[in-house]
Amino acid sequence: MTNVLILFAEDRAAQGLAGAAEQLGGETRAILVDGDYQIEETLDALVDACRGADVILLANDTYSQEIAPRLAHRLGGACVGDGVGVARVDGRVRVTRQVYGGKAHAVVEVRRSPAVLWLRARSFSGGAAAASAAELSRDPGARSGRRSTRIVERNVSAQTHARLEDAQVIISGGRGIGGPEGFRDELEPLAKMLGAQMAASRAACDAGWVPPTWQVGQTGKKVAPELYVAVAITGASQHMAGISEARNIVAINIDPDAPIFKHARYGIVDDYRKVVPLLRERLTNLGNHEGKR
Amino acid sequence: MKEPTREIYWNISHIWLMYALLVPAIAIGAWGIWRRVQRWRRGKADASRFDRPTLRIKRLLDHSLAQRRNPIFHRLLTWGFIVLTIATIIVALDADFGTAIMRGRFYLYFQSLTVDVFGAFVLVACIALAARRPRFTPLLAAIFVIALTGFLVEALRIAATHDPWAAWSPFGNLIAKVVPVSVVAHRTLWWTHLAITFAFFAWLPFTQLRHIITSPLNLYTSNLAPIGANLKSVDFEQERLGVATLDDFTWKDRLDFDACTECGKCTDACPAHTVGKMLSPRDIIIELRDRDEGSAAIAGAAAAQALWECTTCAACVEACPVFIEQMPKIVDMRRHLVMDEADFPDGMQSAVMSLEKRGHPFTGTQATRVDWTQGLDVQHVSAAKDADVLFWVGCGGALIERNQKVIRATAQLMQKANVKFAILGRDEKCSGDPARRIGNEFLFEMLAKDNLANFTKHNVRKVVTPCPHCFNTFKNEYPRYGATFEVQHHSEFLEQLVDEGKLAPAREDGVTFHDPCYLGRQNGVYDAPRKVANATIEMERSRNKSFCCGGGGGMSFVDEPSDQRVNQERANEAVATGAKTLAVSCPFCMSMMEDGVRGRMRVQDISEVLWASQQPVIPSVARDLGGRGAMNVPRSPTRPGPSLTLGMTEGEQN
Amino acid sequence: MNIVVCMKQILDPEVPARDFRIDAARREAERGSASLVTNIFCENALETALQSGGNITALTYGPESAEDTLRKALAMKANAAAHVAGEGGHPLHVAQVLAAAIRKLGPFDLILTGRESGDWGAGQTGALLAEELGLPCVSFADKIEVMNDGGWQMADGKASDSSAIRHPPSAIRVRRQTDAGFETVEAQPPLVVTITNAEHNVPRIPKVRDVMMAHKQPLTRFTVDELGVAPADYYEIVELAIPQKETRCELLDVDGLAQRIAEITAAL
Repeated sequence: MTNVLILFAEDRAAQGLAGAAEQLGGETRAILVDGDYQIEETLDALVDACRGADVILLANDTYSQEIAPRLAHRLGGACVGDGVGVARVDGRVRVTRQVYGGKAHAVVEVRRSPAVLWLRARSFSGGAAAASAAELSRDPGARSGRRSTRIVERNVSAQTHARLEDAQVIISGGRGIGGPEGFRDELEPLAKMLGAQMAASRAACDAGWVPPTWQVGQTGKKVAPELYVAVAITGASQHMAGISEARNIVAINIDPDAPIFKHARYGIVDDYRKVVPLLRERLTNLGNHEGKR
Repeated sequence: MKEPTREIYWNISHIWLMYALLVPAIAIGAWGIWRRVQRWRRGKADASRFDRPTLRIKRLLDHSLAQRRNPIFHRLLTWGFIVLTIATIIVALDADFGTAIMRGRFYLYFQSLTVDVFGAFVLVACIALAARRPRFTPLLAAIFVIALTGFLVEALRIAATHDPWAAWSPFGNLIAKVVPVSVVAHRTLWWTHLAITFAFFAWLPFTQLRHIITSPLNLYTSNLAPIGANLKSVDFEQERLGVATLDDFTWKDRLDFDACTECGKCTDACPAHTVGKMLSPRDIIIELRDRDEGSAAIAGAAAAQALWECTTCAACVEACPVFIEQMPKIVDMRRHLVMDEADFPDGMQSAVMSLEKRGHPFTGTQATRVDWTQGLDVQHVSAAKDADVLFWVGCGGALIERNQKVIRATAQLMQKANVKFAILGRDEKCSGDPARRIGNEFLFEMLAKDNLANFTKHNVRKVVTPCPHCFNTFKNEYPRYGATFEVQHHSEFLEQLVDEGKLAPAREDGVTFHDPCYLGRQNGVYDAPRKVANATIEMERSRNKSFCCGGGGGMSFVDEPSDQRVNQERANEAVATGAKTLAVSCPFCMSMMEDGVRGRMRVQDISEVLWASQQPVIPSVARDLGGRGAMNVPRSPTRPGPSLTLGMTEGEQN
Repeated sequence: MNIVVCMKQILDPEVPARDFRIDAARREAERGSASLVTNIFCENALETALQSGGNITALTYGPESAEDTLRKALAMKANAAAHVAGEGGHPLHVAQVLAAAIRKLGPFDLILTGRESGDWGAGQTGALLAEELGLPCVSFADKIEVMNDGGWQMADGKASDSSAIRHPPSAIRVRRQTDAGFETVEAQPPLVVTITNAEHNVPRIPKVRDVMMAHKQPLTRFTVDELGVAPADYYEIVELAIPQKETRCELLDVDGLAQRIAEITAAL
């Protein structure tokens, strides 16, 4: 049995995928897709590179998500996405994933080969050193002959240093923040202190207060940080679906009845405008966080 | 001695000139009124505005003569105006028809003394009103000058004729002592007085003084139903839905515009205006009045933003001395923006979308309609065929967690009083109030018909609800779709249970009560909730003059600017009373007031206040047994407490 | 330009967790008292199409109730609607059904789907549809511009007077969201695009007049059999369960919270 890991220049994800591959058993090799990503060409090249594999594992970045089902289709296999657990039962690959906005867990059994899976990489403990990755070879001649698309511009937003999915600490704001100023003046300084990534609920993104790339939830990114600070987020199930894998959730909300407190480990019931400045002050006093990025 | 009277037209010749001036004055005035009448007649039809004439005459007298909503000085002005007009007519009768009314006692008591005193009223009233306005408007000035010249003419006549009856005109007589004896001055002023008066009548229809004529008409044709029943229904076959242009208003709307005296009482009472928002009901009425005929869109005129600041609290309607219906017009204009243009605030859009999809206006709620029943033995109507009462919980009660405690308290009170009640649970849908007030009449009708079908299916005869919005809609708006069931707000129902001795009266002191607009002002229920909560402390603005919580008319779904929050204003007023508890009786008021007082005082529903008084008198025991939720205090049937305690409590209360 | 927007009716994702039940035997959610709604990303897709201009067909595969989704689409001013009656199936089956319907209804310059559905959330329909139709695919898009008469035409939300209705575009430019920000992708039609939500494609609220009209408009109807789509293997749901998870929240003061946060972050 052969497992192929496809990596889009994501070394952090590699360990999680290697861990998942270990659980499935078999030989594992990795393909690193580096350089210029172009959807149709990269897909063509991957189809060639993955022939013969039983299981193909990808992470949960944009490129993996868009490539996986198409790769499965081309190889005659089947795709399951957003997996948080994998297993092999009676020779068949099974994937655990959240459905219905995190209200239920489903176990999906793949009935075709290869099984092409994209996984929440951080949900898997790291495997023994990932197999050394071979770079994807692109043979310009081996095109499928289809019309293609061309990525002509890449616009990297302010928050570039790490993907939200990989963040260890996330400071997230919701509708209750009230406007972009709250994010800028209260949450960002806190994030800087903690070396955290910024995120937001759908309401805040749809309001245009923060970029859509910040959106966490069922309809946004699924994150799995060690610490998730939810500020002025009520905690609708759609939001919770995106943070179900977070280890420690801290809720700051003025409404004691906000559902977020049912999921949070620690909470403060008060106006964030009061709490966050005080919190920054206390954290500074505790001293451990100065200069940390 | 001669019979008391005075010579008509003393010192005046060329009387024909008076008639020559009178004819054009009347012609111009009549033409002006005719034009306004034509304008009203271009309006659309309106439902019956002429039924129940006795009630209408009573309202006319109450508010045109007694003027219950006007300050004393305006009343004096009106009365003076009426008395002087009658006196003038009497003069005309005697002069032109040969009657002899102005004689003897009548001359002394009415034509001299009364007229003189009321003339003085007019002068005083003009000055007082000008001080309040705070300037002498041209109209006030004109009235003042007419009255003043009248006095001067009288004084000059008294001075020149040594009138033996002068003492019966005390003010004229007083002035007579300081004016010279001059027949020329008298003649000149007489003609001046006449010219100004005639000009005034010609001018009248072209100024807001037309209200002398339009206000009584408006009062007679005003709405006799409670304000809560004031919204019009919509004909979906019409080309436009709601009001987009002047053409879409009814004749009564147009009469409303012309009845406006520009006094500004509506705007002063408007909660949105009070906290510094754009909305001014007065300005909307004036803008509409001054618009030219034609089909130009009016959303620009009545600044659309202002329309979306209205809480539909109807403080404007209640304040208006001439019964203009401002709020329903705002809803009419909203209807066009919502149904024809789909152009309205985001928060209200979300509420409407949620109403369409899931029958309640909230987004992101994780509560279910039956969460509050946990641990209580409450049955669905289909399982409780012998229920006397359908307990209509309402979305705000079931789905806002704070209000679930209110619903529990109300249910527990009914259980304690052995009321057989049942609920619709998950089958409840929004009554449609927010949809209707936001302006989506289509959605409102769908919800109303769905709910009515449900009521019919379960043979519902009586509904009790803790939500004044549902209450108002059921009571005043569902009958149009065939509803015949009885509906009570929980305040009325609980009051009844207390009166019947089935519940102990509330014994807590230090309670002030915030009137919900849709219970109080719009339906006239003021005393029941106060009694249920033993609310004895009144806020500055209460009862029909109560100030909205800010949550009506779809406003609870909109984010308000932090410096323009109606609930803040009201909460501060509640805190200022020094009361311990602010009692509310509406789920939306609860949310708005809790948000507003921010812990400065306790906010409780009247049912919670009453429930607290049902506990045994040794409260520490109950509290210890209370378990997790404050409302979970067990009502143990085995404990020998309740009936005994009940008696004690009543004793204490009395 | 002809656009088809594939739309799905789903169980209301906002159904409260406590009202959410599953049918363990059939391995799917119970309808219960929850509403059926149009998947939000499908509405984002329709909104994007409406802003791009063109002749828009809304297409759905689902049970009878899915007609509501089409009526809503028509109320939002889609020009036509087609309903494939049928239910369920894995993403490949759905893609095959949609592809067959699109071949019958087409040709189309643009084929839009939502990025994923709010029920099963597989996120594969658009991609598999592209493969079934042999077309390229751009995912996670939130804005579409079309090249007409030699110039790029911005979506302006006023589709009806746009010349885009009359002419097929010579090129299509898509802005899509990535982990790091945005990418601009250019392509020639026909093209499959999956749509995600953004500030500017929040679905419009229909006018009441249009809602009333929408109920009178005809629908094109197919059945799966008519389309000749045979069932195929892909994957099976073998287990469906509601996780029992309730955390006890410890309420702290600011000092306490700062302490806890310091502990957690120190361990990283």
